[in-house]
Amino acid sequence: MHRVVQLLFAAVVVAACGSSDQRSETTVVFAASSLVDVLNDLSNDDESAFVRAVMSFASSASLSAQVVDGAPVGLFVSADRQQIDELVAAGYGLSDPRVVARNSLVIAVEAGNPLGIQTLDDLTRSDLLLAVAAPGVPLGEYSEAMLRAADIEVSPVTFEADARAVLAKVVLGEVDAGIVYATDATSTSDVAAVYVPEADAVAIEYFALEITTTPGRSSALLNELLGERGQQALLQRGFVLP
Amino acid sequence: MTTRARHEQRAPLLLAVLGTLAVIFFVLPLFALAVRVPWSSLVDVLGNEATTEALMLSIITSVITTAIAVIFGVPLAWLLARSTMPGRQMIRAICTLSMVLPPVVAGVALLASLGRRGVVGQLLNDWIGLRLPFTMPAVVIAQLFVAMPFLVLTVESGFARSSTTAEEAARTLGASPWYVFSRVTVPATRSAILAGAVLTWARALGEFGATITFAGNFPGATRTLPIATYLALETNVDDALLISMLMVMLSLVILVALRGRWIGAIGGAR
Repeated sequence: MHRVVQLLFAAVVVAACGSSDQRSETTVVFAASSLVDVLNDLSNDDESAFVRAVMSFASSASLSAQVVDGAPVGLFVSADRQQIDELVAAGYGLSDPRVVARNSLVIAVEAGNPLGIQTLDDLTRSDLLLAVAAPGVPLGEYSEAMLRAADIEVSPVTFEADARAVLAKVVLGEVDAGIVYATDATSTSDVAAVYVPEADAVAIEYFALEITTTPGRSSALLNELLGERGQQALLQRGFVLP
Repeated sequence: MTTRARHEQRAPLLLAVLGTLAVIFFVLPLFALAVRVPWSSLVDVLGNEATTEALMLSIITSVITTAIAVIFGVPLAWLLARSTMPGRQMIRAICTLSMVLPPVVAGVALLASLGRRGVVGQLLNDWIGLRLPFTMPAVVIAQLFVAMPFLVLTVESGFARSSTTAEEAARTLGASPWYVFSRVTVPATRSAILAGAVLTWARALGEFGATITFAGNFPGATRTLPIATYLALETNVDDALLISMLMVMLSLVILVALRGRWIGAIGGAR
């Protein structure tokens, strides 16, 4: 199945490259879904190196699998250390992984917080519908780690595939609360973010890795992310700088 | 290709070539999947409670979906094929639109109508405390919305194709409209109804986008096999491949068995 996904992806990339005047300068960027807004901000900035990047967003795990399957990637920004470590161990890294930003967990609730959710403990209320990310995806693992560290047991009604899916359930009013990244909760005015101190127990770091499949094209992108322009864009979207 | 030409001597070369390419197009991905599947861990994955739970849920919900689709879809197909109700073209288009909608959009549409804040869902929630999303009935509703058009279209063309002579004879002899429908029309189009039911079942079994959007993902209640596969892709690609293969084999066995036994009759009956 991955082989098919990879072929489809290659076709899209080839099509995208073919339509560009600067085909030799186009670099493919793979990034965790939670980075979609910030990287799109950058690619809309004419002076940014990301203008000429072809970007693909998905969960870090499935992007990492596509790298292993031979997708022609220049830069990979993962929300999960484990994926990066595996790629480095398999020899895909051009240089050491770099931390480009940090994030934290929050409780997303309906705008105005009508149920008055203030603490992590409130999530155990029996009348409350809770959505979390599925175990196995990074957000799910982080959420579980936070709840475990706080020794709180919750009964979610659904385990969603990624952060945006959790957020969508809150935005649509199908659940009362969801555990998401702070950056997701600040991306829409339809939800309010409840910050909880227990979130400090999990360190959420975004790692960028230059990938060997298209060597020599990704340095400019990585430098921009770590530089003034990139860090400013990250701050504006609610990330915490490393 | 030479063997093919020998068996079907009347097939024009162009058709044989294009048809064979079409076959390769369908076989290749399945073959590639079968090659990559780590068959050695088949027993582990089959013994995995989470997998069998998802498998059972998929079978149960897809069968319920198919039954409901027949109960409501056959009458709808009859209305579309035989009645003279106004706006039939429009109704047909609307009732089969969900086939071409991206399934995730279908899921959002279901939330907008039957969700806790949906047009009808809100009333259900307020009046009788019924909440559909994240429940097993929501899985069936999502499958039904996406898969029932396959039954409606197949059965409608069956009704349209079957001769009305026997029906007229029955009416002349004083049979009631219901008697004509149940004893003459339905038996005459049995193979089309079965074909439509099988298509609907297969589509329901594979349903993913509308289900995860409308019903979410909860083990034992809404985590169907396609959803389990998708999530396994995040954690264990080998498991995902095995579960996909399980689905492919399950569908293949049933499609082949049914086609051989009943559906093949469509071509012969015509």
